[in-house]
Amino acid sequence: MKTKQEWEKRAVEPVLKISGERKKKFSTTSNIEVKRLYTPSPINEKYLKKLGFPGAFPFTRGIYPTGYRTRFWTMRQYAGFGDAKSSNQRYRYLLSQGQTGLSVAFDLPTQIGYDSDDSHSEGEVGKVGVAIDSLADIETLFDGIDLEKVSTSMTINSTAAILLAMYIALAKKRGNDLSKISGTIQNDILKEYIARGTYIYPPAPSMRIIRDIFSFCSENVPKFNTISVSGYHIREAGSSAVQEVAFTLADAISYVDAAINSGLDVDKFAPRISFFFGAHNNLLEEVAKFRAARRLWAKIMKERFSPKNPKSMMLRFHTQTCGSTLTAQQPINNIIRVTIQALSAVLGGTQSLHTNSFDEALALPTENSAQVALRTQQIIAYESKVADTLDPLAGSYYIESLTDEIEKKAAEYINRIDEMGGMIRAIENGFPQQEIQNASYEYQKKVESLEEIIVGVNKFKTDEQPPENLLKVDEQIGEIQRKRLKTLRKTRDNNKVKADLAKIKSNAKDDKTNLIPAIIEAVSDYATIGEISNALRDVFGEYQEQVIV
Amino acid sequence: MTCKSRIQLARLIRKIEEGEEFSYYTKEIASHTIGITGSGGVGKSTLTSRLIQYYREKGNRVAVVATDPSSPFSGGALLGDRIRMQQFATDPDVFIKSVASRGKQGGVALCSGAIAAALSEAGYNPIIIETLGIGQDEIDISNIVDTSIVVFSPKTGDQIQAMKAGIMEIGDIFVVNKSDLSSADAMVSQLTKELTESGRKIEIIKTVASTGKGIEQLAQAIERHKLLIFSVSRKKRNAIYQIESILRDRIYSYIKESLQKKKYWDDALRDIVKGCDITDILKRLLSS
Amino acid sequence: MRKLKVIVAKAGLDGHDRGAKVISRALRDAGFEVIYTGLRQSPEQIVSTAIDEGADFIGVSILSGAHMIVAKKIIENLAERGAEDIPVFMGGIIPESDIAKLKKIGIKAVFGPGTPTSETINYLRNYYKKNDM
Repeated sequence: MKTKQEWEKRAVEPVLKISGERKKKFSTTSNIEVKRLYTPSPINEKYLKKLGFPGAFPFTRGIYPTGYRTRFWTMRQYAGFGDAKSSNQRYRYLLSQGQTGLSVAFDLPTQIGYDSDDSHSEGEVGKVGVAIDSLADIETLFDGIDLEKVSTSMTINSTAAILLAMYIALAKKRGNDLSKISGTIQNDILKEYIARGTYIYPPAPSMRIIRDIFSFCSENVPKFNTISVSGYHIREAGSSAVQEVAFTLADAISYVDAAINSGLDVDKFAPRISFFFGAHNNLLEEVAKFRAARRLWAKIMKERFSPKNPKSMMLRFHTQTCGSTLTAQQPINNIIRVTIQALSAVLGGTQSLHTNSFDEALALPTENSAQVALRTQQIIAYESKVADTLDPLAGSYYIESLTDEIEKKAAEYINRIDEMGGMIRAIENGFPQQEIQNASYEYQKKVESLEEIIVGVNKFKTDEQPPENLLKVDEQIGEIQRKRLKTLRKTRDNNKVKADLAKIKSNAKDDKTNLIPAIIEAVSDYATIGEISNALRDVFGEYQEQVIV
Repeated sequence: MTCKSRIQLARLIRKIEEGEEFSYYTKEIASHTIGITGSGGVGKSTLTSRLIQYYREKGNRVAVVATDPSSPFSGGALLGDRIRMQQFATDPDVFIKSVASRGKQGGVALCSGAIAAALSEAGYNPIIIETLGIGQDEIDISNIVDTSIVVFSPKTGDQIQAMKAGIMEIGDIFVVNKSDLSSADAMVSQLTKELTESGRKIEIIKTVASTGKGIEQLAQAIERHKLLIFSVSRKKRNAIYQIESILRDRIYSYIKESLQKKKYWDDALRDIVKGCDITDILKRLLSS
Repeated sequence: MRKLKVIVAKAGLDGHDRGAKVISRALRDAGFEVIYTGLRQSPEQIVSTAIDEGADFIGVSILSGAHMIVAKKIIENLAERGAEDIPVFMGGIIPESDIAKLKKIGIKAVFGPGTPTSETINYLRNYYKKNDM
């Protein structure tokens, strides 16, 4: 596409025909018309090469031709705590308040493949998310929620195959059409080794499970996003914006490589790859970061994997405001931080957004604080009008220069990783870990020398009363889950479960067999997450942390 | 050993580390001591962890002394080697001690040998001593232990240098770790060539520490070497080395302290900053 | 002078080790010898490590909300093994209302989010001086 007219005709018109735009006409308070897109005039080669049009390569200005003028981003608040019943209530509340997608937080035993009655789980059950042991808990979790109508994002990685299997098993049981259920599993194991820590198995078998998920889903649940390659946790571990882009895209390259090496066609799975970034305080750098990531990914895909489908080159991403920027001191100030961060994500063109609650440096959000967080997004969407035109900051000298610089520096990192033999090798050598830790420690030193100011923490401090009304997870949840498991183990057909687990083990030993069907069978017979994970631990072994300090 | 005496042993070792309990610095070590050396990132700690596992399965009580560098600026240290051995932390028959180099060159801490002596006395056998893994001059290990294992991994760039720098001469066994990498065989033949040229006869063992492959063979090689060299003379040689090291350390500290007391030291530092001739400063220090 | 030795451990299952690693580095840069244990350490592992390493302090970082049970077990374990004289301090996301409870069972200090590393370092140095360890 060389001209705006061509873009209007070929890209915009088809969208308008199908979905239209939110309003017939967009205008400011002074009745100045707001156009869909602002560009230099005339459009030159440099513009086309670097920015192009929304919905067209290199996607710097967004992946959809009409952007938020047709539909706002998905407002998706990450939630979950206690048992399935209390989380189900929170989901129903959020949906009734206008939230448009679900995002499930799991507790750590669920994420690391331990049952609630395992000794490793003591004190952890239901703490940072909902406790799931078997399909029975998933049935409760989604009670009264239509799986065909809601898209569900699950923050789950090393046990992603099992949770996905449970979701599929539930949909099958309810008679849903599998081609209509949609959502996302995080399924990004590499960043677990780098930054988040919920790994189980070594890299090779972990990558094999991911491959199996890719190929199973492309055939059976085509609307499910099979991976959400995450920079969020890398950023939260203390990386810079450049490192966040670089390491996330380097991880993503590894996944694409793995899938292609197993014989999958790039256009079959690449359109189902999604990304997940953090939104930090440096408003304009963050906007540039999102734009740079989009452009760099499009180029990487095009140059390395030559896809035919343009969707394979589109970087679609979810954003969460960065939790580590929240302060325990003067917590109400966090609402303002979250607003600035959320604004950067919207100006950067995010596809979905989670805004943190102001009390999250202290505890899990209460219903009240979670509502304020959701309202923050709604105010940006409906009142600020920043979503009325596409990529509104394009053309700013500062933003474009930052976008170029971030892209360049991230590409340099990726080249270095290539030279090391790829991201898996780099992780084994501790390279990204070391880089992140250096950045994190340097930042901490700047905070302590007052070179960086954090309002309410190292400047503008006040004496304050300890906050009240924090959410406390019921300590009884562990006991409740343990009892439930005991009953489950008595009432299910244990011979079937035994056979299912044996099958999983033998399939695991054969690299050529896809693991997912056997896992779906096992969860349908109410085999637990711990049982399945332990069967795989027996075959795959466990990862040993590469500590770099 | 009961809990109480384990604490006593730990506290004794802590005193040794702080330069007290001097008798241990010259004690003979009855247990078999194994040194593990090699550049950073070759997998020394993972290999050590596998050896612990091997010896535990054989029913031995095993101890490890792992060395990490001290910061030359703050004198502090980050000791992270035991992270790969934490699964043995609660095993009553495994004792893991992390030590910092505290300014000593040569890859092991001044107290490493003395700690091994205390561990030997407490009935641990074998005792594995892991070096820093940062420089190529980590040859002191051979003066402390009975069996020195030099670990290589394919693709570690500094290996040729390592060979030139003398680390080749101290090895009793060579290990090529991460031997699942394609370049492992090239590494083995390169080592074989170097050995042939130098006329030494040393076993080369291929391992994959992360999976445990080759550990059995390594342990057997260690056993063969132990039978070959376990002799009094070696133990005596080690004692002489210990005494020399301590003397060197003490004399250096003594001289430096007295220079500091008389301001010579500060003057010298000031002159260095000023840009005076280093040779002159050194001459002045020596004559004072 | 005797070097101070600190165990820095991540207890429970959570993998957020940014704080633990930052404090480890800061302690090193302040002249301490720090033994970093890595993730997912059980109370028994933490106590055994502290005993064998002859630690002067145990620092535990936890952000998952399992702090009460972890703290209780560490303190019990230390007492069982006759090492109750090793002081334990904690860091992470710990609600104000739990701090008093933790101190009651024997945790010496709790450092919440935003605590400058210098505060922790000074605390440890003063503790050592005061108690003439």
